[in-house]
Amino acid sequence: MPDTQVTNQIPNLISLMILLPIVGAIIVMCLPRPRDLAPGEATLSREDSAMSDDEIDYSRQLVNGVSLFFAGLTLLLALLLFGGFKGDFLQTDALTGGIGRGLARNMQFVEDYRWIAVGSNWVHYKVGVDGISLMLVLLTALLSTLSIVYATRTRVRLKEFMVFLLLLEAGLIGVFCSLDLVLFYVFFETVLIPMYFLIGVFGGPKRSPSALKFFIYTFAGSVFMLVSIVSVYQVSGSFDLLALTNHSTVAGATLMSAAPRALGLMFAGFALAFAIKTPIFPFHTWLPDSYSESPTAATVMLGGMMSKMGTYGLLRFCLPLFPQQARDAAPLFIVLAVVGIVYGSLVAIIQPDAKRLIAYSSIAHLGIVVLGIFSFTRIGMMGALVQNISHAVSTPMLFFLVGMLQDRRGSTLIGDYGGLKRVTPMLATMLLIATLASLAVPFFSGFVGEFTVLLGAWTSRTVSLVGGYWVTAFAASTMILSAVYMLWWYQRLMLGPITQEYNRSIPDLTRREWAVLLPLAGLVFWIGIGSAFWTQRMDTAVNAMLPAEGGNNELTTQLLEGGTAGAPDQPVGAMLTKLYRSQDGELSPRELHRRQPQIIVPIRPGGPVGGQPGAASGGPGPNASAPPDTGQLSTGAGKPPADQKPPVAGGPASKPMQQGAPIDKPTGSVQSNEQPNAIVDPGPPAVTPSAKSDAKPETKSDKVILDPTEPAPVDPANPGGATAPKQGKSPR
Amino acid sequence: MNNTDSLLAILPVLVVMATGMLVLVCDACIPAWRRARVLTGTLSLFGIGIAVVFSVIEINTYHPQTSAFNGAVAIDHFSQACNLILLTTATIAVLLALTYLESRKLNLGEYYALVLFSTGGAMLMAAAQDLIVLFIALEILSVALYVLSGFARTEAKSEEAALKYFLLGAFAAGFLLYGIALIYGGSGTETTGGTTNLLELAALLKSIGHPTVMLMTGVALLLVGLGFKAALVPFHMWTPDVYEGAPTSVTAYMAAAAKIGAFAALLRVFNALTPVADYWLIAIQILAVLTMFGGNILAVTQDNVKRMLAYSSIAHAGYLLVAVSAMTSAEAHDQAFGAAIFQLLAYTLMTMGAFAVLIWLSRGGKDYQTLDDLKGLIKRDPPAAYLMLIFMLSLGGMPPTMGFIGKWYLFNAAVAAHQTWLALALAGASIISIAYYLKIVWTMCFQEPDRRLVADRPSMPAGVIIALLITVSVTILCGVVPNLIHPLMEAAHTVLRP
Repeated sequence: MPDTQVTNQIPNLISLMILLPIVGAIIVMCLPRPRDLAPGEATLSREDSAMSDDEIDYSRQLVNGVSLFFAGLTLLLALLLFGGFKGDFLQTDALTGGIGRGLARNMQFVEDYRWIAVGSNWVHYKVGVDGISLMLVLLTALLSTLSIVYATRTRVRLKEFMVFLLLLEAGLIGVFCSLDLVLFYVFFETVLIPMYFLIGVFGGPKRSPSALKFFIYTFAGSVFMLVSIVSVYQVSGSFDLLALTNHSTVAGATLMSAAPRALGLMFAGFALAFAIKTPIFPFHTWLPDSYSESPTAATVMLGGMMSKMGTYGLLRFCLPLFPQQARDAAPLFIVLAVVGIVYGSLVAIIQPDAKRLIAYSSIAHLGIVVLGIFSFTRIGMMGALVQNISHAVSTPMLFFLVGMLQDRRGSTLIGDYGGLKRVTPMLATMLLIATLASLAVPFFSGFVGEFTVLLGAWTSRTVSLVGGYWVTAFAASTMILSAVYMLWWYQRLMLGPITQEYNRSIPDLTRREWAVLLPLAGLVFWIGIGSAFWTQRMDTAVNAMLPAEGGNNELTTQLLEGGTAGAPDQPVGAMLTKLYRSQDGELSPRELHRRQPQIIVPIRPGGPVGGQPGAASGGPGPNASAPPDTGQLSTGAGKPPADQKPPVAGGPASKPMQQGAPIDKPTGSVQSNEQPNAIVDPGPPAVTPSAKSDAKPETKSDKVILDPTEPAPVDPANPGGATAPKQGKSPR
Repeated sequence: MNNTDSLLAILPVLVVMATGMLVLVCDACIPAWRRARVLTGTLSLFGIGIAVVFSVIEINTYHPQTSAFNGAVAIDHFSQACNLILLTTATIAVLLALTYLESRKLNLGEYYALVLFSTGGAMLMAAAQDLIVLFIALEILSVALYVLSGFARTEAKSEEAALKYFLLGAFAAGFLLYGIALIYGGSGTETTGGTTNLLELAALLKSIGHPTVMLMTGVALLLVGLGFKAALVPFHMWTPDVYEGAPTSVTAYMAAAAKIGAFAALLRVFNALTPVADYWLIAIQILAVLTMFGGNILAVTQDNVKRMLAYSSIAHAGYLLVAVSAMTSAEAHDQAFGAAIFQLLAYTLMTMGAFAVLIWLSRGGKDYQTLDDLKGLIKRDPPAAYLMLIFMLSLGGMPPTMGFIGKWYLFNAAVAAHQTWLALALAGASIISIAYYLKIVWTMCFQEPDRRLVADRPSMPAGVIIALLITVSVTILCGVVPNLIHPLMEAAHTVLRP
């Protein structure tokens, strides 16, 4: 029985986490300015040796100490948050007294205050965490602390550097906790300012154009998101994310029933902002410049956490607010993600600059996250989340290491190094760990995420409709390509003979650098080996989008392919084999793919499907390429012609019971009616009888047999019953 | 309301005007007193303070829709809200001038008197419910501004600005007056005379439903006249030259006061014309888009900060026109008025704050106004650079500042009025605007200081510091807690939709 009570919570914990770094920044700003150091001063070789009293710059230590104190305190609070978080917590719904609906189900530590009056409504200061944001908050606090530890030896303008890092931390935590659209936008924009200065003041030689490009690019995306946010409000009358994603509230229901065209434009506004922020392929051009020109600590935050703002936004806002539009746009996102994966990997190979190489590899890795999200499978989404946090650990580690090399040698060009393994064995070991994590070797963090995303993409009908299994195959090429560029990179940096004399005398890791790297190295293995520790905390949050748990009815029906809802509980082998199974068992996989997913329907011994009315409709329909309907294909497979039973008008806007009502008709199907909301589950695409089922609620979908007469929720833009569901070839 | 009551009703305006006259007398009587500027300045601030008190009292005592002088002047909460914003503007203008004028050897008491006169004119303009009163108020505002912009008598640029402003302004006033005449003629019939009273005009238009051609021609000319005052593209040509030529404290005042007056009038006049919105709405919208994009695009290429801010103020006029356009929709009417008031206050504080930083930097009779002068400011004078940074980010609409909330309210109003395309245009224009605001930030923060300017450290005049404290604290505070000025926005709802 899941917990419904949260006890021993520190009040306003999240607000404290947002406020503390701001307070810290203000205090640091008021401290005396430390003396700027000349390039030769405070070299690494002297770092661990004791300094005499007159050498110590106390104002410098004060600035470092205060910044570290506040970042550390925030990290402590983040750990308290992590500890107090209950993975299986289910929020009580205020209206019905039952389990909360929509995103509210797993939301904890919620704070809600009125903020700005808009007419008779209010914009709220509303924050809270669920399993998805929890990880990002924790990693933000951790990476900020590590960045500050790393940045303590910044030579010039140390005070400003610390101030900007602390402000950035506050903004990022705010982004990941906001549950109000306007509040989210405020934080989303605010983080631009400190990052702009971190790049512009402390960056490399081309810092000014890079900073400007970064700022204008991301600003351009997010301004249109603001218009979308306002439009959402004008349609629904609420800025509250939890209300908007809960379709039993007025706001959620009105948003759901808004004109599809308007919803599509709103979705585009959100999606553009997040696509630029992530970045997804054609919007990536700001990324390599910003990554390579910013100082190490800023690159870590940029690559580690700010890229997560995009993927988090897609998952938190785009999908739950506009499930149907997200579905419609999924093919586009999948194609762009795969292009990004391949493109990023290929371009990374030829980069002579280490930072740019990691930047391009980030494009590839984030493409995998996007692919996982838009696979609309539970396993794919979970994989995307794991890949998200894995990327937030491995990329910062790589950037830290490159920064350390840069501190020693003053260069980020790969050609300036070589054979460092003999000189700096510890650094080489750490770099190997980070490289392997990025390269997705088993037992390292990258593997879990990439593998599960690819698994999700493989089983996803949305993905396979875009280009069959080729999509997944192309995406999987990242495994090979990343091996090419990462291993070659490592080889050129660390192995072989020492080509440059200067490199013979560079020092190995100092204590400060150990302190930065060890936590990250630990996390790499923890995520790689003990991924269950992380996934079980995100489980309920992902399940909140699943129909099988009495979750969010229409939202989930549209969002997730019900068929794969139970996927993680099946043995992988069964999942793979079922892809090649069909009723007649004679078609080749290629043919299967061409005709799927109608062909991939539940196989049941003695199943009643054969006797369905309208089951013998024609071959692959003329609109076989229409992506909007792909989510409902399994329901549409045996759907009768429109004249017999037209679908409920308005499709997604209709109430769950309307959609679910026809399932009560006797069809001989085994139904899982324990969960009233489960009836809208479109069912698994291909569940072999051997697929095991256990007690977990979501696995009940294994047993759910589709009612072929159930009207599919149709694309509101295309409500015609005759064209909405694909009238595919019926195998029976 | 009899005449005495009517005079009482416009007491804030009268107080401001009377203070102006008193300042003139004081200045004439004690010319030799070396500290005269302090006397005239303090006297002005005192008068403004009394006017604020009266405004607040009137808000609390008068019915929200009071009219005075037989309906010629509206003493509603909207006009009182505009009064408060205008009095804030005047306060800052006086504070900025205290030491700046002395440093530029322009230490004359007339400055304060002229500021007060034009403030009184703008206050009357915001309250004008009759087109004749509107014209008189506009002239009071403008004539004082013509003189103010030529206040640096010894400088050719200032003289050029004044002449240019005067000639074009007189021309625009002609348009306005002719427009009023046509509206009067066009609203009459064979049996009844026409009207210039906005309430009567609104009632008339509502009953007949469609206007005469003469009336619409009059409205078009009226729009030209007011558009000139508000610096809408394509009536904006004077703005950059006048802003650049005028002494900086005058520029700061002019940028705010003229815009508040003009937009209060635009809102009130076009609110009365709402029944025939179909005929003029598209013109307003085209002007809005032209102004937003024109102002922002032209600003990008400027290397004089004052000119850049002039174009920025043109762009902000375009943003405010979005509120005028949104006002025509029944469901967005109140939101649009609230958004306009908020954005006017935000614009006033941001722009005056930015000019205040320039005044802080100016010394020895020399103005700091080119981008080169700002190079590496963060190293030479960190507080000034940080303040300028905040104002630039606020003008660009970045949270957590007032500029963001203002734009957000405008978005709300435009979308509520089903003019989402206008909101999108606003968004597009904001993106362009960020480029030049960041150019200033970039020059200040990322460029190395010019060597000859390194040692130059300005004095810290108290008046400027107080003005900066007011502007920056409100800009940030109302960006974080916008509800603080929610009463002001609600006051704007008292202008009823006809």
